[in-house]
Amino acid sequence: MNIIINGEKIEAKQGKSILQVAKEKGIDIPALCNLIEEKPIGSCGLCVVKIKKGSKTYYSRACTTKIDEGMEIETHSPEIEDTRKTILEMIAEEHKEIRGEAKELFLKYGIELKGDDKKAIPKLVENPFISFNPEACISCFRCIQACSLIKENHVLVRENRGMNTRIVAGINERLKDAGCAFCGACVDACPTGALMDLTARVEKEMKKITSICPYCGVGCAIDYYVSNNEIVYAKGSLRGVNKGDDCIKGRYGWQFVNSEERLKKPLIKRNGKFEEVTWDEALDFVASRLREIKEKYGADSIAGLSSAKCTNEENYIFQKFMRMVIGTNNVDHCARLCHASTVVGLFKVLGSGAMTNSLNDLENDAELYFVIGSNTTHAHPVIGTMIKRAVKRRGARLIVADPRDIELSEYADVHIKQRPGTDVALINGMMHIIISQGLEDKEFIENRTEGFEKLREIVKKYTPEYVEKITGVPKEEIIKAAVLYATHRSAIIYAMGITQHTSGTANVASLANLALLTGNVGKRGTGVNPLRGQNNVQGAGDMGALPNLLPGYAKLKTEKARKIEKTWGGKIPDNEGLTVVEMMHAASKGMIKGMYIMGENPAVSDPNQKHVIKSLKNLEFLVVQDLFMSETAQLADVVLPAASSLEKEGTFTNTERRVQLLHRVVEPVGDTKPDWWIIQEIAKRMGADWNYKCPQDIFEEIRNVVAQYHGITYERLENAGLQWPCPEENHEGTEILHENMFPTINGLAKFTPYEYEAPAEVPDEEYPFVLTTGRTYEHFHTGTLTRKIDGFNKLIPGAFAEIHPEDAEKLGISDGDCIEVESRRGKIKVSAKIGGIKKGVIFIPFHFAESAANILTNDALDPEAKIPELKVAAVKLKKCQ
Amino acid sequence: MEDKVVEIIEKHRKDDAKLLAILHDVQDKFGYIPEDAIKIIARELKMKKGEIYDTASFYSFFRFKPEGRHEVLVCDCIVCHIKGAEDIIKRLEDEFKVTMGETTKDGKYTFKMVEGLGHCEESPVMMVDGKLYGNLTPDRAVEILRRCEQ
Repeated sequence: MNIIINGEKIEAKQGKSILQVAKEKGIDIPALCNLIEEKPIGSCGLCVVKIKKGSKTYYSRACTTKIDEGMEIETHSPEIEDTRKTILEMIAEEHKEIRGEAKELFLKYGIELKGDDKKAIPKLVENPFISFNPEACISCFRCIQACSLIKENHVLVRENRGMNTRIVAGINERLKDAGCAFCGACVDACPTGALMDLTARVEKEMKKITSICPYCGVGCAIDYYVSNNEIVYAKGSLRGVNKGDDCIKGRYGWQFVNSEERLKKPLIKRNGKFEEVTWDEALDFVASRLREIKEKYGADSIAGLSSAKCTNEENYIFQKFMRMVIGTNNVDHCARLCHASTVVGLFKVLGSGAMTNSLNDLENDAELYFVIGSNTTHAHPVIGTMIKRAVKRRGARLIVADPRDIELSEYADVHIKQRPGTDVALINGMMHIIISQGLEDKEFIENRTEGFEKLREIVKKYTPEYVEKITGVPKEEIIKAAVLYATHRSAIIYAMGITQHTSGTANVASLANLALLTGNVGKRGTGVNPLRGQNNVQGAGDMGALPNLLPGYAKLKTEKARKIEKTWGGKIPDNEGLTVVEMMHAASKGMIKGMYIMGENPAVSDPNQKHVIKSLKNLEFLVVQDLFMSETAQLADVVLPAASSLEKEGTFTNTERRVQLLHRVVEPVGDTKPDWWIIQEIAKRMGADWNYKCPQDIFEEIRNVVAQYHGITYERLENAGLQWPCPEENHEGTEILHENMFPTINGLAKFTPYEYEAPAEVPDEEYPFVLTTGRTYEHFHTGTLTRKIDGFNKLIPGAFAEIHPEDAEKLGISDGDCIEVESRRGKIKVSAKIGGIKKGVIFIPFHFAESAANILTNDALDPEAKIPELKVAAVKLKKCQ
Repeated sequence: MEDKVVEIIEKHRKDDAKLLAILHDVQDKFGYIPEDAIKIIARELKMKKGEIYDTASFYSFFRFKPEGRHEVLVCDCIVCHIKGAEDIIKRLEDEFKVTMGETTKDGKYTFKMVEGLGHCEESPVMMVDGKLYGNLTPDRAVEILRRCEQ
């Protein structure tokens, strides 16, 4: 299409706006309300241009006017510039405090900002992270567009119209009450400085350093703005998997780095009190105590917990230290408590334990999301936003299975509220319906799988009526969900609501069976997608921080193990080590004498807390390496201060198997050291001949040992990371697993059906409620990081128990009342929160050590994956005396 | 409230432009649009409460606070203004401890300022529950309202 702008002939694509075309040609047309070029709102009027078409001459907004053949456009003629000046003068009359991008425009047009009228302040200002200055707000609605059109949150809205229009949150509420996600998209969109991050300050010299977020497994790239070795503010990077998105933790959660509570010096406990010592003294002491225990009781009397918060390099040398220097396979990490059942369950069915698909194809190609046991918008917010967008913008369907009214259930076609612990019955029921209606993918079953007959046999008895009885879900909903799932390109997304059960492996395998049955594996927008909880939980497993598997998931005593021994120059112990919960049991019985815990807080994170603390106290020697004096560190003999991931280099592997490079954002505080350095120093003192100079040295060894990482180098990671398997240096990485064959002996996936078995503890007369635990949006895990941040504590100050209104009424409990929750293992006091949850079920977040949900939880284990049943415990409730 | 609001929503569920119809019926039922009703409508229509409020607050005929039992319209047109409407307004605001546009704490009166009740010959004027009172003085205006309390 040919048009003329300011006398110059231009060829442009049909469908574009004049503003878009002008921008592409470097013509600067002012536009204050324009945020999303494809969806202009045409509110400010500044982009007005003069258009001549045939015999007609007229004026129109460049943002909302599409180009047309033969248009002659003038963008800066005198009368247009006059009009712009008039518009700006009118705005300037009442907006003395305009800053930022808009202020430059006023300067350019030589217009002075005026106005003394104080405007009423909306309630949204009552929040710890985002400031709002009504004197600077010109009602351009960019913030509203960001909140609704980009984020699908619809929290910021307009109140009233015309001269009285103003921006409010919800029904003029506080941001939190209106459901704000504190993603900061509004702040980034605001051209006048009316909305700002409270932490942000203007510094002359600011560096932007991009690294990976230290929180969940999505692995967002975050741009950190640093001045004087201090982070000033942060926001989601356009270069990451998050494509500019972020959440409250990515945007504001870095503030723990400069917390006064950071450990800064090594500590040794003497006469019950910690004393500051030098690194040499601390390291010598740790090495000699570990050596003594090893000599006295044997290597298997020592156990180590590696960390899903540490880098791949650190996990790799931690497990190498345990295996080669201590001489035991007693090494595990918190994946045992989150996705151990994923690794076992998916391995059995698909031959690989990782997320099958990628964020990119899930975002663009899935026709349906089946979200089960994942409060995605809270625990993996950027993926939550992705799902909300897909539903709202391109009409993707959504099935949510969760006993709570989680945010995603508002967007769902079907919301199944199953009884906790009845997932196998639910999924078998869905498969029963699919088979009985002939909706299975016969070709896929024939060509790509084995064991279908056995599955058909087992799911036969799971009729809708039978499943309704077990799960408490009306059969119509189960049928609707099954048919929807089977008739779309469907992706399963799950998390701890599936895995943390005695039937965890069965749950995971059943989901994989369901995907196989309908051919929803190995294609874009499908798959079985576990969302990993920690930033590097995928990597910690890949690196072999597991008692039964070596780096690259090599089994003990196999050919692969022998190959690793060659690289390591020594013998790897043959017998499997202990898992997390087994270590605690062994410690309580005096079989484990010494423990080395890196970056984990089992005293709060693990089930049956009283027992865990008793076990840790029973140790002869405990060394803890952490950023903070965690509840576990308090029980230690030696505490070693570690650098945070924002203070070091290395790699993390995100939930979609993407290996990503960290960049040091700030220098380590105090005398803290990176974990890899600490481990190596202890190893050296125990006689190891290790000489890694930097994380890259370690990574080069990892490439040699872990086949999936072989083609990955630090240089190749500089852009957006690489997804394993990446076998060669010219390999582009693998977006989708199992496209042509499964990594099994015969290349086929194997249906592995399970019968429904009740949870280890079911409600009875004495303990009539089911307790289920999880995360909140604002806090993370045991709160070691997030509870150091004032803003997060203001938003969620303490633990609560979510309870159904009718249950609350029966017990005479009102919202906010103190209630006592008691299980067979202990009791805690929390405040009641009446809300949307299945009758008979209560939910308590586990972040809060002072009212720890894990005092109540059950440490009964899944027989195959040894994951404890954190999601189901029988409890009783009463109002506090 | 829940049942009543849901009943209204069900009545309009199949309409294309149902939100405004629902908001009208809710206001007719309760005299205004309560916050809780907005939350119920949002839940039922799978919208966010802010989206409902954004739309509703666009229209001046929707109210978000309960109205008083008596509606008092005080005219401040140019004629009434010249003849002392300002003094009347000030006196009423002092006496009933409100500003124009608000409802008294006891829920008896809602005061609104209007421009032109069409009775300039009797100005200054006010209208209480649809009945016109002319040739006002500040004292007389207060007296009229006190009388309708009894």
